Amino acid sequence: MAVSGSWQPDAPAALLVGLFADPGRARQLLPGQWDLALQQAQNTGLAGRLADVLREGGAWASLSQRVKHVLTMAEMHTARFRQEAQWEAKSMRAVMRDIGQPLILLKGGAYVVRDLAAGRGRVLSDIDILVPRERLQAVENIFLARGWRPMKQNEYDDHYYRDWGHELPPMQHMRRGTVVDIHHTILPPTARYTVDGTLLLAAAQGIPGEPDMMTLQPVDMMLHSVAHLFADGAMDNGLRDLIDQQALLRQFGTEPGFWRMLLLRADELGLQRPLFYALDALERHLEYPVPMEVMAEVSTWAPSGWGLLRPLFARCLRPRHSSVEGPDVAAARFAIYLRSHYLRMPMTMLIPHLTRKAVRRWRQDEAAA
Amino acid sequence: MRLRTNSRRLRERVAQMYAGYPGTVEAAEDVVADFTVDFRRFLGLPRFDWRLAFRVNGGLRLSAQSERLSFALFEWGANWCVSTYCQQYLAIHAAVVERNGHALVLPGQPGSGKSTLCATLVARGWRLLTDETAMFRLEDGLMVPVVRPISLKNQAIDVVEGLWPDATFGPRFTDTEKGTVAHVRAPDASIADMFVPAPPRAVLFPTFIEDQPVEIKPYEKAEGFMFLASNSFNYDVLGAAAFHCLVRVVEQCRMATIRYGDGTAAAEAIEAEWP
Repeated sequence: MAVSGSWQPDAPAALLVGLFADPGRARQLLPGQWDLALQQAQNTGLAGRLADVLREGGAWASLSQRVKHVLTMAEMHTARFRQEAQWEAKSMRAVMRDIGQPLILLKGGAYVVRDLAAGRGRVLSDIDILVPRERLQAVENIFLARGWRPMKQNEYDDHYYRDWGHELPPMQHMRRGTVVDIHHTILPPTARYTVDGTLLLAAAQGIPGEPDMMTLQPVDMMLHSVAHLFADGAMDNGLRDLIDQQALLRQFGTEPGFWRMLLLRADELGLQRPLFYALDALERHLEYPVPMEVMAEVSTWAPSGWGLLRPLFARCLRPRHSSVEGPDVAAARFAIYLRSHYLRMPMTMLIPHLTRKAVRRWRQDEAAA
Repeated sequence: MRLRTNSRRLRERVAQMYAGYPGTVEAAEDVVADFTVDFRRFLGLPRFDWRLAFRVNGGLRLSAQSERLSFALFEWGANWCVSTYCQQYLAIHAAVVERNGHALVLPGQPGSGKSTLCATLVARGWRLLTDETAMFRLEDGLMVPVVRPISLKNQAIDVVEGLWPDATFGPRFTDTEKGTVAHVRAPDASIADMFVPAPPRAVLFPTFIEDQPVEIKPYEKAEGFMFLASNSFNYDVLGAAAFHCLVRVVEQCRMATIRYGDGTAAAEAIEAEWP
């Protein structure tokens, strides 16, 4: 892949993303630079993905023994996560069969069972699944019956999840300790950006070799990751999510009609602006070759005041490491944290919600004192 | 491991306790380290005491303690790193000593006295491989040394000081969570052989009981396997590879328990049992 040659590995913020953009650059790095890149990758949960990208990019052989050693350690961890995720998926499929519902996997679980590049070397924690809203209670009941327990929530949080949220409170398996997040859609119904789950379900695809197991269609997988990163949360795993999107585009971007479908679907689901944010970030930070006509079209979706938002995103998408996290980054993360609240709830809900949280925390502190 | 610190006190203590080890204490910037530990000195408020903040690999601060406890914090941090980052070996919570080409594994229940027994044997000339993290090579079950200072608690410190007059002791740290803690530098011979692995010959489960005469009894292999697996730092990460490695170890090694009230008597019995 031809990328620009003006990469500066001495700039800590450019180091790790530069390697993901073009793994061939691995040959250029000095041991001290490698050390920093590995630390950044480890702290951001990207060491396993980096190893995979280097292997796929034909750069593995050029690595020093030390670097290979550190990356191999990470690969051992992520191989374990992968194995567990596959096992959990099969176990959950059996549970869902009892109520005649296929298992529809989201995010990392989906990448792993489909054996996508995005799933290799990945750090996985909870398994996320999608079910029709009308079957939510039935699904919760069958999971309870098969040994999962709701994780301890106070009554208010529980009510928040069920009434306003897009997912049930997480459930944990009694013996195995694994956690499942049961969604009926990918964004909260009360949020500024929201998606009707039935649209996603209608387009879900089966997995060859795995009956009763499904994932979202490729453009929806991409839009889900985009929505999660730019339209929902506080960007805590920003770079990791962006790397997922890069991997998904590399996987599906060459399929005929993919880009046209991505744009149409973004329009249909109301996720145009987040998609613009994502493609802009992918182009800027990961040097992703977004087709020119696509970029031209999505740029028309940019908001006014984009100049203010863009540098905030840029900082939140950095690796988690002291070398790139100064006070400006802390300030940006806080601003994005506030933004995530604003996105999730209208003001009429937000003020009472934050007030209740503050009062509860104050009461806990008083009790503990 | 790379150490970065602006605490002179810590730097000097580490230089003393790790004297003779390959590498230097100064920051080596053009090396790929397995992990980097960072101890930054800062003035704690509101008590105005000097404290050290501990970070690994430039990440979140994991702990902050009084600078008074600096070396204890360093050892604790290094333990954490070794058990988190060393996945190429099966790591089990045990001491390992070696004599005449055979390694003895001493798994450590709290209160077992494993560190004290380990120190006693090392004082008598056994090679120290580790007092804390037994590392088994996955492919052949050989034990890989992790030679670091032996950590001792409370009365054990006095006992070992008594029978090991040549030992280099670090400072005593009083008022820690575990009581009084001190460290003994590993002997020069053990440091010199830090890259020499050893085949395990026996797994000996120690239990210290006041005034107990020495008793060595065989231990059921299957139970031994379960104990070792449950005391492993990374058995679950390594999965099947760990299982096969541990099976080989359990099949090849003698398994026994030792109950004792006097460390020297225990050491003599061990030396008689495994000449």
